[in-house]
Amino acid sequence: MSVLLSLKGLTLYYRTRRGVVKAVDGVSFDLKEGSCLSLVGESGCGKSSMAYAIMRLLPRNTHTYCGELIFDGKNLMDLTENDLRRDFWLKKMAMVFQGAMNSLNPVLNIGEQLAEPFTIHLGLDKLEALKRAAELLELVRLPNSLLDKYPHELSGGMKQRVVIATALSLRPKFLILDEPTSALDVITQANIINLLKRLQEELNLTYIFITHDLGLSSELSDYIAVMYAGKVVELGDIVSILTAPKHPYTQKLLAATPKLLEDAKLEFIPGSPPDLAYPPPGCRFHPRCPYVMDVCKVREPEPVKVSSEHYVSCLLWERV
Amino acid sequence: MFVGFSKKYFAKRISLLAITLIVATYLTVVIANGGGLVDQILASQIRFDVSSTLSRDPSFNRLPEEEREKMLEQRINLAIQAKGLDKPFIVRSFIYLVDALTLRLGQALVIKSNTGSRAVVDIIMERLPATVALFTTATIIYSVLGILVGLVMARKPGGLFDRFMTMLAVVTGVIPPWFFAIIFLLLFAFYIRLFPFGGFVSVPSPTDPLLYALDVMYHMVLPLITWIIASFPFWAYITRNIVIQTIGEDFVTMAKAKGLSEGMVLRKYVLRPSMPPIITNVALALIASWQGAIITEVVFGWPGIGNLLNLAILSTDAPVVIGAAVVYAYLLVATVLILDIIYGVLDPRVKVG
Amino acid sequence: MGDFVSSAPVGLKSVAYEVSHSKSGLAGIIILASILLISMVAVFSPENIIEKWNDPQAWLDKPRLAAPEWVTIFTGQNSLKTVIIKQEDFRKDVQKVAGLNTTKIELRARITYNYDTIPTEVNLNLEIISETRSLLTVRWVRPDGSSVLLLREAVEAGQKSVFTYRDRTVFENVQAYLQKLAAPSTLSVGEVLFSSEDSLLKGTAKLLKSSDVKPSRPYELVVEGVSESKFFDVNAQLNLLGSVYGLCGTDNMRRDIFVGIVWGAPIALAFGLVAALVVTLVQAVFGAISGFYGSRVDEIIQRVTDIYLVLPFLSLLITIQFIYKTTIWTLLIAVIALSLFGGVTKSVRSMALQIREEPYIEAAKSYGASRPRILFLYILPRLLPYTFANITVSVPAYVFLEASLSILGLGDPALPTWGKIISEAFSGGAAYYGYWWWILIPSIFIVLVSTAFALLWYSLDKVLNPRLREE
Repeated sequence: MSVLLSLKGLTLYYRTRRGVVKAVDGVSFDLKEGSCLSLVGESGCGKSSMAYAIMRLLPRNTHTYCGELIFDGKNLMDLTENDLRRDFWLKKMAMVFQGAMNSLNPVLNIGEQLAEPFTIHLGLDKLEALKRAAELLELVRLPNSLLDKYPHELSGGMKQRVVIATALSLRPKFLILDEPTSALDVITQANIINLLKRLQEELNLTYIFITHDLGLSSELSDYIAVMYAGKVVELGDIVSILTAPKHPYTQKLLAATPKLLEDAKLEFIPGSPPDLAYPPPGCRFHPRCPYVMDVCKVREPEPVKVSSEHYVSCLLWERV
Repeated sequence: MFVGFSKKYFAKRISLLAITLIVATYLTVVIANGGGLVDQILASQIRFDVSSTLSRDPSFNRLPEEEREKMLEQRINLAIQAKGLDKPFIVRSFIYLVDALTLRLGQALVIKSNTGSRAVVDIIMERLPATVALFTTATIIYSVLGILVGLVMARKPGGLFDRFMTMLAVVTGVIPPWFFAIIFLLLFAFYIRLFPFGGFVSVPSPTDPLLYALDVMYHMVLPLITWIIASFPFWAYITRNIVIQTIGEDFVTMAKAKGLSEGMVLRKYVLRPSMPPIITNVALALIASWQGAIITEVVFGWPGIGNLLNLAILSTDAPVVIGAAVVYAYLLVATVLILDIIYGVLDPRVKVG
Repeated sequence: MGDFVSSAPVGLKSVAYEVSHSKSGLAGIIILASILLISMVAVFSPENIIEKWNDPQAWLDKPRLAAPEWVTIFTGQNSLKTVIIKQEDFRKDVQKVAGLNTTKIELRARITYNYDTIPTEVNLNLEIISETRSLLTVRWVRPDGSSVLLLREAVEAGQKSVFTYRDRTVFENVQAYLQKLAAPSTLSVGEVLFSSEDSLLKGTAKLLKSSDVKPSRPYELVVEGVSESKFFDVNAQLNLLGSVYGLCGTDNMRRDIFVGIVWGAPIALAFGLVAALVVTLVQAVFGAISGFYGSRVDEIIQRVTDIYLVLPFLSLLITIQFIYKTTIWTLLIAVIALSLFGGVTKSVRSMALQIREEPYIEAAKSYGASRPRILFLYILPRLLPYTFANITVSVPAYVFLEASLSILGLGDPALPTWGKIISEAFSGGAAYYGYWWWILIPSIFIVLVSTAFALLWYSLDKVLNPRLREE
């Protein structure tokens, strides 16, 4: 399978009152077409910023945005926002926001919001566009009576399906799913995950799945990337990450995830994630790391290949 | 696009406004009758009514003076009893309330309408168009200006323009328009001599209807400028705050990710959803604006209800003062009702009330 | 109708620190402190200014509608400031005419006059102590030696004020003098008094200064009284009033606007602060109760608030003032009564709804704290910073409310308030005739107070709503 998305040193800093926040700090990885990569980490570690950085949906207080972002053979960094708007967003890549929150405009009805891509990008007339919107609802298993409903009349799960449907309207081959299930109850969560699985098979989609829930990520993904304080600290295929995690943070994260069949005691990770405006020097995890060495406080670790598809950024492994 | 109104939402709002109107009018009546004023006003109204009906009766006019006097008193007493004015105050107060609500406001003591009528309702209705014309024109201009400036402020929050306008909004937010009015009169009418000192038209007024209209507009410019400058910064500030909040919502980012143009995102995904909260927030400002209108009119000699109220205070014409207070209650309630309707059109959430 | 506010988890101490360490907060505090200082002058002054303010007789030694003195810096003119020759500054000469039982008193005032403008008024106040009528002669002697007879008449004993510019007899005497010189009779009394006789002979009035003659000589006013009374005395005071006066000028009743500003300051601050404080706190308490207790209580408070919000506040106040003509302090009570519920009730309620869900409230409930205890000890303190911010914005609103009622002639009948000065200026035609100081000076103070509170609010808001201030 060919590489669809390739990041090299992707960086996104924000300007805030407290200083420059290093939300994404030199992230590199490749993503194969048709696969699913989970981006896992605690809240505030820069996961959502990764999504915005990959989509090139930059907030207004962007301070630095650089690196290489090659999608489908084109470096998105070289394109203008107009190019992205015309040729990429929704046509080749799309993002699924947390639908249960505020991803739908409260004053427009579902039909209008779903039909919009067809009128704008394909120039269809209103009736035609609405017909296509109805097809989209069918795709995500929603009744087309929702077309003239407003967001506040829908349940969280229904809204999430609408958001997914919108993202799929122009049949992109790549989706970034930003915590698509975090505000939903467990049953609805499972339904959405099943829907995403089915859609991936039917439409041959490539996913980046952003979640703070390691358990959930294993349901859908082929690869897992663990993020900590703006950096990817470990990346590998799902089996190696879940069975043989190398980075102390990944190990802690796994230990903190409840397991259905084992009766193990749940651990928690002492300390809190660092302030991204003033991250600690050296390895960013060193203040919370049980295996911390003196060198960790000064040197930043580089990714080390531990097996064919498994990389870790930790000085413990650099030594070996 | 049609949004069905929620009957429940409107029933609730309308009944609330009706109660407000009743409370406001009742308070006015009770306050006013603290000095027995309403009693007097009504008694003289009845005397006026009775004597004018009687004087149209030829058989009454043929009676000798003494008989006429006696008959008049008799009829007046009958009318007072019929109306229940001999009842205790608590009962009377409700009779007054109904009278005030149905705009039976009695006869003025001093002031006359241009047509020569002494009925308070005629006097007030004659002034109403001038007040409403100035108020609506000003409100439309400053609200549109305020929203536009608010959008510019939200573009660069914390920037120089934003900080300046925020300060201006806070300062002008508490300074009533009449205050600017006095300063502007000194500046534009006395020093620069660009605008007249006030009034509605020049004296003598132009006879040509077109020239007359232009002359009225010329007299309206300074009051409008005053009102706009005093009011638009606050609207801009409210708009800015709400727009900044809306811009942070996911649906705006999502709209951008859908490939919508910036203008379209701004119109459909920022401005549209911001409108209902903006309306909610400016409702209070509009009510304050109505009250400021009273004094702005006085300063500019604008022949509206505010000016009438001032005239009535100066000539201690109590029926007119009370009548004007009742009409103001109606105006406020009508304004809020209009805002509620606009809100209902703009926010689909009231559909399920 | 939800308001646009959010509760910020900040303590009062840190808020105070942030405010006093921000530029806008500091500026606001400095302005307020200075105005407070001015108020202190009025509060601790022993003088009964309020009575004096309303007594037209008390201000006769001040010019009418004089601009502030500092305008001379801009005009470059050496305009006359007020010159008052007091009774002890007159040279008194008493002569008994032997045998005739007659007393003659001569009073002489010397005025060195080097100003560029003639006085707007020359007023002479006389006090004659006598049993009988006495003959009074008043002459005006110019530096060039020429003199004009102003008065010669028999007068009763007692007080006598001669407004020379408006006095009929003086006018007739001056006309007679002009006729003698064959000068135009259109010249005003002031012009005649302060011009050289030479210029009058040529038909034009030209101001004669003391320094125009060598060596410099003063103007002289000579008052001569003759009486046959056993006891006889004449005292005089001469007021030369200019076109400029004091720091802030005067109004049409000759009152010193500066006095009005100083004595108006504590009234403005007291009215504004008390109204803002009481109204905000009452509304906040109702809001907190509404949000915290919920259900029926909430519903009732919310509906009552909805009604209060649309009440025609100003026209009700107008009706009250019109019918009962109350003082500013009873007005204050009316204002509070009409504002028991309002915008603050709504916004505090929505904050209380959020705070209610927080764990520490749950914790307090679990150890059995009573509901009022939770309300007053746990919820209200959290709302204090917002409440403070609201007080700072509403103080100037109430200061202006008092001014608004003054414009309609419904202000306090006795007190000199800033609003009343502005309204008197407006009704006195200050905008129409360009008496700018009468309008602008009280306006500047009212705006200064508003700006000070606005600055304070701005620095508070930065702490309370940091999200809205991010760049």
